[in-house]
Amino acid sequence: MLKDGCAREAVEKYGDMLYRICLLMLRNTADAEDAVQETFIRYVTVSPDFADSEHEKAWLITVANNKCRDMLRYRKRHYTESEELLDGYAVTKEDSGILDALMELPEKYRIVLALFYIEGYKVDEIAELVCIGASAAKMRLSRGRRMLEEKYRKEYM
Amino acid sequence: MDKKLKKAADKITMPEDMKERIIRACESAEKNNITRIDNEEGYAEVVSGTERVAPRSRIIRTVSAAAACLVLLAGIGTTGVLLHRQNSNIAGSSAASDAEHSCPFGDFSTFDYSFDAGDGKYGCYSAETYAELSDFLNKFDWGESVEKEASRDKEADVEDPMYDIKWTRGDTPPIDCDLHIANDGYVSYQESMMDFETGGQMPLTENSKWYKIDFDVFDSGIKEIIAQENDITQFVTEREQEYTVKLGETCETENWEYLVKSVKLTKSGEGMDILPEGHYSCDENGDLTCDSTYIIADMEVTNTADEERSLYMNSSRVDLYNYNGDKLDPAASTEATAYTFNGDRSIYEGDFFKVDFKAGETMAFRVGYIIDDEYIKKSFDVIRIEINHSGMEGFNENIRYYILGEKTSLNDIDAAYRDEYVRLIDELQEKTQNSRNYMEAISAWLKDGRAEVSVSTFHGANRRLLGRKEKDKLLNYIESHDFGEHDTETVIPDVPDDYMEIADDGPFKFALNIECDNIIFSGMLAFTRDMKYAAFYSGGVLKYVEVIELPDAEQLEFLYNTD
Repeated sequence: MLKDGCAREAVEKYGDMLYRICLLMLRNTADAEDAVQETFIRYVTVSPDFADSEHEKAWLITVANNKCRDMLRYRKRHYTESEELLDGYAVTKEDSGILDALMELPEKYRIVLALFYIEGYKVDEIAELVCIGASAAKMRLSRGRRMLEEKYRKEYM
Repeated sequence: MDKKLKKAADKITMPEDMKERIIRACESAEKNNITRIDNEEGYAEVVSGTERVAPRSRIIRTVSAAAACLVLLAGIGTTGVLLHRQNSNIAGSSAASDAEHSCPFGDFSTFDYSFDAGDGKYGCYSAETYAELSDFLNKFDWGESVEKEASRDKEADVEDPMYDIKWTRGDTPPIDCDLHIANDGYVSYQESMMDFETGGQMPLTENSKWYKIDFDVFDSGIKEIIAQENDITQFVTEREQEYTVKLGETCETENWEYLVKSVKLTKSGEGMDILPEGHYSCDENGDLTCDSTYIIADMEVTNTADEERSLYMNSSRVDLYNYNGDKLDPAASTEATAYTFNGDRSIYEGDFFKVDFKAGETMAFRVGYIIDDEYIKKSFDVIRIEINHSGMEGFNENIRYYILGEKTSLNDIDAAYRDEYVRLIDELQEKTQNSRNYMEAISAWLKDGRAEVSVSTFHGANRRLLGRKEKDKLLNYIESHDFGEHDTETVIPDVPDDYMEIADDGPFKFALNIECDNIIFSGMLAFTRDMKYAAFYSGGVLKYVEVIELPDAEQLEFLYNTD
């Protein structure tokens, strides 16, 4: 568990994970950076008491997810241009297909799939992280997975 | 595929330069954070500086400004309205009515549109106001469409005042129309429609248009109309009403009558149709065809009004809650999934099922709710059905849910999980709307004992947290003086409105930083060296949003003179 004020340590430890989630959610690098920065600023200014590092990680994910949702709500009113997101990362063309397919899914499926398949969270944990019921998480996972498969096979294979 | 997804995603890492920017921003924010040290007066605060978080890239700052503006809109919007009521003129109306212009967007009086003036009412105005707005919009001189200005400063899009007008055109498929009027007079018209594959909104860029208008004329005309709203009527929405419907009993709400005829638990077979979301396929008997367990409610809805109208049901909010005993079991309250039996008559419009009713017409509906399989074996003492409905699109999500016997709304329980940032937005909107100026908002927080106030004297100096007695003095000062209505017109001589640093050689003597419930009020209240003015700055927009002339400024000496 990190001590209060260890911004560098926190960013080093959780930065990639949060950035990945925010990028998949927001589909825009500048927005993702903004969401991650806001999350860490909140982390260092609020300095919550965490029971353990898992609690700390979950708190960061929840705050980042909320930031992303705020931004997506804003975007509903103001369309922003998308960009070639995966340029610049060590992602092969083959790899980028599955990520592109994921990013084209509706927001609520993206976060659930990312947390389950990429970050390795269980359904119950995901339900808590994104503040929905376990059944809803299960359903979103199942439906999202099917949509992802369909999209990937149809458009990227 | 699962492993492929993880393998690909793991290659996404944060660039080092971005990491460093974030670390710097965090360290800067951390410096501004508060360390409390007990003293005889309760506690004092020691912090190491008042510097602002270093600016990020222009793009990012634009997004930040946008977020901040969401906080500010209601306050500033209301400010405009209040000011306008004081200094009423009808420049906009007269300018608009002097000449007839052909409205390029069609006849607003025929649209079911929402007009968001950023005043926190989200377009909840009376029919009379909407009639006036339609007249104004129809007659307004929008001019000829212009080319999109690529070099334009997009921050103007998110700075108050601005207006958003939304309506839906056609139904096969419906097209969402969005007219955004920015405060530099730049008007953008965008169309979008639902992408039935992703469920998201897809912009129809080929139909986009831009106009350049005289914003002052538009703004004053609109404010004139909206200001009258407060005099004409107290508009009551359905948002806070609650109805409990028991099986076999009729419930009447705002000229809609509901009769729940039966409720059953059932399990159906394969074949779920996922699009549009929440709209599930059924067989010829109207039974759901999905391999899930459902609570199914059959009901009748009657339009008891003597006119034709539409019922909007929000698919994500057509909920059945089941209770075992008198306690809601959250495990049984999964994602809302609605099915309307009158599938051939209901039209899915984005987030809503829209059903057109004739006067006095009754229609049968079936709503379904997916539950865990285990509940099919259980019996229920009470089943409560909550239906979000409205005669007007857009209000649905504001209806509140309650658990039987509980006074706390489910909305509030749910809200407890939301980011505190959202809570701050609500707080600011409420306080600033109900206050005549920002001083009054702060006064309310001080009175509630929820506010902490710290004083910054100059850049780099420690902040000093006010003790209880000093807060009482400040409260007494605010309460014993009249600062007038919200004032966005007054400017401080020789001080640019985007100057907000407290520096040795700057125009400000000191600043107050306000916290409420441990959330830092986004911005600060800066006092000029001559103590004639105080300027409120709001985070994100980097401009003072209100200036107050200070009466009896010597009474505030305790804030900066600690000798």
